[in-house]
Amino acid sequence: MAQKLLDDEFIARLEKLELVSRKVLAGTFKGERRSRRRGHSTEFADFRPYVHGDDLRHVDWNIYGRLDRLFLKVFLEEEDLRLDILIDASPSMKFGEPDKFTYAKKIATALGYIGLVNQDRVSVGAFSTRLQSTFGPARGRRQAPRLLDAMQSLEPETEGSTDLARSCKDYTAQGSRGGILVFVTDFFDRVGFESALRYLLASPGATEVFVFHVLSPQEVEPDLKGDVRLVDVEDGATSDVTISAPLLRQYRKTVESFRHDIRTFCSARGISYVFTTTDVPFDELVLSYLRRRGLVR
Amino acid sequence: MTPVWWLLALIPALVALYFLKLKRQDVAVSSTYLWKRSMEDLHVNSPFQRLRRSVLFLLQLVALCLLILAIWKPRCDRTVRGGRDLIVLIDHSASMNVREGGRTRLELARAHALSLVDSMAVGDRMQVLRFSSQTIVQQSLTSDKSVLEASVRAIESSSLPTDLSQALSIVNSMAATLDGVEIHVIGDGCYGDVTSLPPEVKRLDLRFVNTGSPVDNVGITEADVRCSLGRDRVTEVFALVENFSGEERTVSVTLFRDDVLKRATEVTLPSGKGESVVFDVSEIEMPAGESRVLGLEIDLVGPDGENMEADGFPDDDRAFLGVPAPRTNSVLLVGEGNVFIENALLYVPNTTLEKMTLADYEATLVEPGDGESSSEPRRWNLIVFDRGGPRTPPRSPAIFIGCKPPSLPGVADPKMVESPVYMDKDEAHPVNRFMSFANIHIEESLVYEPSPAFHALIESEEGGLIGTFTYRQEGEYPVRVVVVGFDITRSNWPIHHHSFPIFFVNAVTWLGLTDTESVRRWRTGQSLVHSPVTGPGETVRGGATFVSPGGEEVSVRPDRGGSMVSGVADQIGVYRLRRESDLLAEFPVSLIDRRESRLTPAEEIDMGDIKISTRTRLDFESSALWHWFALAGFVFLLIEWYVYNRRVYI
Repeated sequence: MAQKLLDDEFIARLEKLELVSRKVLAGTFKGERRSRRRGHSTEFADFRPYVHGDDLRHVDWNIYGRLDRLFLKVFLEEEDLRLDILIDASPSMKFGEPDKFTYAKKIATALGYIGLVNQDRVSVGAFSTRLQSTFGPARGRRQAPRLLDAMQSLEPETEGSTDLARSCKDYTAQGSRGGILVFVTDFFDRVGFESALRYLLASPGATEVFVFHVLSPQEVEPDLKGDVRLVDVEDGATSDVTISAPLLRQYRKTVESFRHDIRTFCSARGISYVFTTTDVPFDELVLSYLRRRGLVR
Repeated sequence: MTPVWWLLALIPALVALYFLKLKRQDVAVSSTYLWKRSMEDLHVNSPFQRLRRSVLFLLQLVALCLLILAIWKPRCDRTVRGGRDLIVLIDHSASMNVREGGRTRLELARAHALSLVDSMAVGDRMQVLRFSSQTIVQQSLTSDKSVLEASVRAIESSSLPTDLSQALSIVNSMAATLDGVEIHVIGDGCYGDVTSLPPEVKRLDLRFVNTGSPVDNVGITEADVRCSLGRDRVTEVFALVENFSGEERTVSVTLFRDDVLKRATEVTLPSGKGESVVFDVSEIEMPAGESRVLGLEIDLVGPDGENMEADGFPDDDRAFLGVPAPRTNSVLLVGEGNVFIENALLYVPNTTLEKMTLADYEATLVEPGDGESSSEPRRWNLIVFDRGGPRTPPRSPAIFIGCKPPSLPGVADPKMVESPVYMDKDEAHPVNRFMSFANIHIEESLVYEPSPAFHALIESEEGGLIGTFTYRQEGEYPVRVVVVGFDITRSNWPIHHHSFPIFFVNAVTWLGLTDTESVRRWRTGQSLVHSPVTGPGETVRGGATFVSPGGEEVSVRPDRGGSMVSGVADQIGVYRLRRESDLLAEFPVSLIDRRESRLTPAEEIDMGDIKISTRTRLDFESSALWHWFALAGFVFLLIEWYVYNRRVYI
């Protein structure tokens, strides 16, 4: 039997967390989250002058007594939160020890679970060359086992090259309304990441995007030596190299530059960028790191 | 190995190198994207980028320059001092024709000599001589390298035997006029005995360079034709075949005439041993006027009876012999009768004996006219004067026994010596063939003082006991005589010694037949001499042409005695002497030299009290630098290959 993605103890700790959106988002259904739209919750938001046709029940008669003018009390509307998680299932994600795909699945499962517990609408999609729906949209605690099963059975593709742009375009084309988008990938796409992220930003509504950039320790600090032929697991491309100290130094610089480019691009566009390697303990990432970054509380 | 061959040998290595790829271990990575970017960045950001971009070109350029330098054959001058005189002796004898590793020993010797020429420093001079049975100056002393190289390259192979002693004696006379001359003898070390060289020759600064290595060989080391002395007159061809290899060999020995096989046999020769082969050739028809030369040839036979490839030395695999033409010799014995001589003459083939007293002989002489000498009324092939000589010289060949020939111009009067003691004999003369004169006791004998006119065959302390002399008449063929100075009946020669009948057979053969016919085989290196059979008073005729086995023609004129002499026979085969369409004589020439056939070079030259080790290479080669340049060029090509394959700069 495959090892469970999240153990029970960890799930219990997730129960106390909820997703935080820095933006007031418009949901589809009534939920437990304040909406930009004014609504019918008990939480006061503002006053506005009465206009014909307004519900007289919301008139503030105390102000009318003092000012002799009709004002309406405006309350915040509480709506549900949409949480979309896109997880990279390309062959390159299978790489590493621990492998990146399992780590990505854990992130997605944990965040999805938090969302379901807090009555958010959660959906999970996996992509390699195209985006495919894996779970949801669904809400409510009762959907949590389904989420866990779906994520447990999710496997990466065995062939084909990553096409980030196409996958993100697929997501945008679904016309999802605003919510939180969690994008988990290693960003290994020869075409680049810029157009993919632009597609995500172009999705309808004020989507708040969290990018998780996951690499394995072996990708950050390769343990290679001698004359080797590097074989790309996705497209089979080969590259004859002789591993030398200058080359390793240059590789580390390239990785750093690669991360820097993505971080800079995200910062400039209001995207939250989270870089992690698979040797970072997962519970620490979720319970401490993401809290500090403000994704959960 | 010359630089060109070295470089040619490198070509397959280079081709193999370019076909070989560096074996790399496959390593799966999530993406080569970052690696490729890293390599590109590394290349772009590395210093000397322009230089590095063309590093392959630069490496190829350096390699090419080094290889060109190697072909240029640079040398380190510190090992060569100038101002030397060198004499280089190059052996071009028959054994130098042996092939070793695709090249003949002579080619190797030439290469050694050329490297020696190449090593000459400014001020050095060199003289080149080639030697075999004779020594010839190939190039006189010069410092012109191109002339020396041309002269070395012009040395051709031969089928001649070797005579190092003669070569060193000549060099000694040349070295006498030079100071501190270096003498380099380049050959295969098959020089035979040189222990009897004069001390001054042994003191020369001699350096022997050996180009040969032991080679297996089977060859004919002796061959002859002999006619039995009995009445059955059997003619036999004898050959000695020797195996100089380390293994047992089986050879087929064939006898042919005019390329037609006549006899054949097969012999198995243990390693290092020889075997005699005898063919009875009495029945082989040889019509008058046609060739009387028989050829012998040996072929190696394989274990299944098939003919194998010839060994590395074909010159001794064949020999040629001449069979004497049958003829009747009329012999006149002049004297009171001598049973010993009469019995001995019975052994002379095809002989008719006539006897008469000296007085009867004198009576038969034709009285001469004015200005003429008396002469025999008829022709005999031989006249034997026993204990009494005529008053006038005979006009036919003669043997004088125990008497003084009349009128010996140029010869001092012989003196009578009691109990002369045998000292020496001329081994090479046909009359002394198979002769032993030891333990011969003579009561008294006339002894002749050796002189150009009198050739002593058997000598005592006081002078010649037996010798030859030639009567010469202007315009006529000379008349040869053999003189025995003592009365044979007053010695133990005819009674106790087998050499007596042999002497008669040899003497009659030599006097009664031509030299050409009496010598049945010739060796390369000998001069071919034709002395025609003549009758009394016969005049000398005109010149003729020697035709070599290779077809070269040499015209010769007869000397005063009517003999015609060719140059040195240097080809194996049959030389022919022709006058217009007439075949005057045939000269079967073979190598037949055991020393040449034994192809194992000596590791040292034994000169008696001095032994000189042979070397396989010249000292000068150590100063050559070309192979270092070639090696460096090869290393640079390897680096170029390495960089090309690794794709990443170091």
